[in-house]
Amino acid sequence: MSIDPSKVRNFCIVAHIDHGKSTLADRLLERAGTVALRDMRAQLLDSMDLEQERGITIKSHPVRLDYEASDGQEYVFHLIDTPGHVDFHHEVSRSLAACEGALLVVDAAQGIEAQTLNNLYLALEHDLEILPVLNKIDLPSARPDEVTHEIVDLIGCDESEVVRVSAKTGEGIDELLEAIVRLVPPPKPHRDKPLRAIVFDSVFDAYRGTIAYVRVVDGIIRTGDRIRMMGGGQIHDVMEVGFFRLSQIKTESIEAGQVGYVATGAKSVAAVQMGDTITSDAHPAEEPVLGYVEAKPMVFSGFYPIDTDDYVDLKEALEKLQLNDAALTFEPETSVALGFGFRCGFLGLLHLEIVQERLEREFDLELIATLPNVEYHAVLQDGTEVKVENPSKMPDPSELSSVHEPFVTVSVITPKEYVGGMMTLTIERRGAQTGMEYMDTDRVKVDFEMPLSELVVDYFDKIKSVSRGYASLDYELLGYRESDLVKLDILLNGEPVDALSVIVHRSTSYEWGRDLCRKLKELLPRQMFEVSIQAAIGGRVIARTNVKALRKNVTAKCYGGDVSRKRKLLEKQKEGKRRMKSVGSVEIPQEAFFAVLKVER
Amino acid sequence: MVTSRDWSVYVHVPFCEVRCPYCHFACFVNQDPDFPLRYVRAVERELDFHSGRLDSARIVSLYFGGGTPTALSAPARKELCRWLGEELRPRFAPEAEFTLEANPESLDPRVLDDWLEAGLNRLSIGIQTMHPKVLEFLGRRSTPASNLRALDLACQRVDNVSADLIVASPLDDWTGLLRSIDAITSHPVSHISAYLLEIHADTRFGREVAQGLWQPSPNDQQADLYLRLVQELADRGFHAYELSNFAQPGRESRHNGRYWTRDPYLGLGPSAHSFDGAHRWWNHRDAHRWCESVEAGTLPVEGREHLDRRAVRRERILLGLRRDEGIPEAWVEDRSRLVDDYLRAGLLERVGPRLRATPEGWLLLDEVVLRLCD
Repeated sequence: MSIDPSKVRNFCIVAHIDHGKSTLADRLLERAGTVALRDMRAQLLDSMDLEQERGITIKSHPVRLDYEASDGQEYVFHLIDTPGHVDFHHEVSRSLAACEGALLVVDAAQGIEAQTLNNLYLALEHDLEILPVLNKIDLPSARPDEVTHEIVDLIGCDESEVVRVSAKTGEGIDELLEAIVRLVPPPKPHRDKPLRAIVFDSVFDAYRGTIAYVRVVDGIIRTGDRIRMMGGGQIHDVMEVGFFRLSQIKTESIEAGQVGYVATGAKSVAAVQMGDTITSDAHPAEEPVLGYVEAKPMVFSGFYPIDTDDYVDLKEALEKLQLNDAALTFEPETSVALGFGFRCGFLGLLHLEIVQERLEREFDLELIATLPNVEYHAVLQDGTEVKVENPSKMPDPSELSSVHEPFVTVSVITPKEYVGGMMTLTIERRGAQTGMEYMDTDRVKVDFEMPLSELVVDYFDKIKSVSRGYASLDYELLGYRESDLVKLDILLNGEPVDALSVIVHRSTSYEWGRDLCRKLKELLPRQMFEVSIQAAIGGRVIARTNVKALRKNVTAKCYGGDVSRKRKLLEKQKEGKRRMKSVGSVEIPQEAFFAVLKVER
Repeated sequence: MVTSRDWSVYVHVPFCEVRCPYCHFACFVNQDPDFPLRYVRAVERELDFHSGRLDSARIVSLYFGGGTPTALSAPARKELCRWLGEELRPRFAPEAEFTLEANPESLDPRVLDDWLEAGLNRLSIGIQTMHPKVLEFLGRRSTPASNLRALDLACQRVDNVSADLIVASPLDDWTGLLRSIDAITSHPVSHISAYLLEIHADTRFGREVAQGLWQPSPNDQQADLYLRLVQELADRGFHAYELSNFAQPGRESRHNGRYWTRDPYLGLGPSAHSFDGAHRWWNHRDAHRWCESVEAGTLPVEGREHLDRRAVRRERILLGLRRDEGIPEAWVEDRSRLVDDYLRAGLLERVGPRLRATPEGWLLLDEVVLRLCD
């Protein structure tokens, strides 16, 4: 389908979470006439239940809009709604590669936040034209002039270039549409060059296989073409191509400069990796659009079904989720305490939470998820390096030469009165400050380097609480560094509970040990025998406590002939007990595993 | 259908003068002067429904529980005793046990005479405690003095007297408990039922505890009291033949014993349970609903169940371990590792081919049974 390239505008919207990205997208869709009023609902592009509920975007959502501008010309907009959360940086990055411009949306009340900055830098890296948009100007707490100044300071544009809108009321949307026509550069396509199309997302469809969401950079792609993935090397036959309205519209071809989809028939999204470049098998291009970076899991957790009979269901559910989520990894593992489960890898904590929630909600599974951890690199005495994704698999201290862990740079933007509390918290987490600058008279941006492991547990929640919810945070992987780390094991009556092992810095290991023992003492119900709880490092016990034996649990009266009631009670208790995990003769209720995740530090 | 066997009969009398704050049995304070007699006629009629089952059977025990059987109105009592004498007594096995539950304050010589004439030979008195403060806390209307009077009267007229105790209410301590034991054993009482106070959600106590108004006495304290009680009663000649029941030799309750040995029994009256060896069924809990059903000529049964093999096995273990005779070890041979653990921990003991719970094991019986049953 031929469209005059000078009439095409490809852009995405980037923003800090909650700054109104999806609502703004809704408004553009409505104004550009793509959505009939009867189909209109909030956050139209966020199709997953979870996206709607949490108000976050998880997948990329492209859509084509037809817009008649005030110059009387018809324009074709390709809008790509991108995930805002740091976990999904890879997605954002790929979406940006598909565009010429980015709307940088800033909340007029909140001002610039940590993710605004990171997304902006990312957009600049991809050489995009930045269109600053001040959203939520209808809010009583809006500070449009101040925030406009912040934006001007940040990107060095002219004050008049900042478009003021309210996605909620619709104010300013017409001006924004005109600004897009005026300021976002049209693509400079090379129709005649060999095909290159960047895959910025993909979904799995039961009938058409993996469907790649693409931006064609050079050349043309037609139904029936044989294509090759430049990074992954897979060959596919194109079953269908098309573009996006709210649903997919089939066409004969998509050309350089356009955004659309390619149905490949591939049986898994892994065969069409996001970020890869599609080229023609017959006339391949020389260079891919982007350097090919595979999304790598950063955070790991063991997922175990509470009911051991659900193992197969869990496996199937993970396989299904993986069809649409190439970044999710999992492999079977066995725990003495929890039985059979999977070690799953995630891009970050939000990704973990989303997968867990989907497994529980969409697949009706009840899970125990172990304390999230990072991947450690253990160097043995003989120099070999072992990757450790499960703390209980950390080699014995006697075999170890050194342990390396991932570090991240963290930027926190916070009102200045909370800097003190935030610093204290961060230093406790082994963070080292690397920079500090004032965003305006009131707000400060502080940069740190810290181990990812210290961030993944509850750092974000803690930052929110010390700043009364005002601070925002973003982080980026820095690399591996050597740290003085130890594996802390928990033993119940002398038997190690693998699912409770943690890897901690030596300086905080005693505290950890003590707190874990104390927390477990609270959570373990008294049993028929005394239970000793010990925390140990490499066989040396560093903290201990015990749970006294239960002495009484009996129905005193079994009387009047009502035996059925007693027996049914027993049957109910049996059902409850079946869900209990045990190590040796010690029975551990699932709450104990959950709540250990929340040890107060 | 099980016929031509020994049967027990339980009759539930749902009337009480006040509702005790800990009690979750089916009883109510009746305001309708005509209802008690209607109730008695319905009991008589309910038995007729089972005449086929009982014709060739002997009644080896009869038990009137409640509620408060001694609180029946005079006309109702007279009618009930007449019927018992004329209809039921001829079916008694030789030396059948006939027990009546009585509250100390409603035990009157004339009341007792009527029952004795109907064949009564065992009396169970709800003493609960001799501690005035604890009596008050338990919402009992009796006093230490009325308790003593009732014991005196009962022991004069009846040969086989049992006293009920409630142990380990929050105000209870060993001194108070010992005082109650002293008062009871200074009478020729031959049987004592001592129950650890249980808090049930659908009672006043349950609601008060849920609201945090007071707390049940700590489990460890209850355990200490119970263990001392078992020892003390043994020293005084009352052996624990079930975890809450203590008797002088030969004076064990035959009726209650049959519940635990899974012998057949027929329950009459609201909420009464029945068992024929293979099925259990239970009557409507509401007295009026039960009564109307009987009067309409329909079985007043609210629910019934057939016991499959696994249910039978579970019942045998859970009931058997309550008794001092315990169970054959062979019944739990598939749980030998657990059994060894419990033997080592002193919760179970081996007596020949049988396993029985120790007093420490009785205190944890719900846990033990949960793990021993498949």
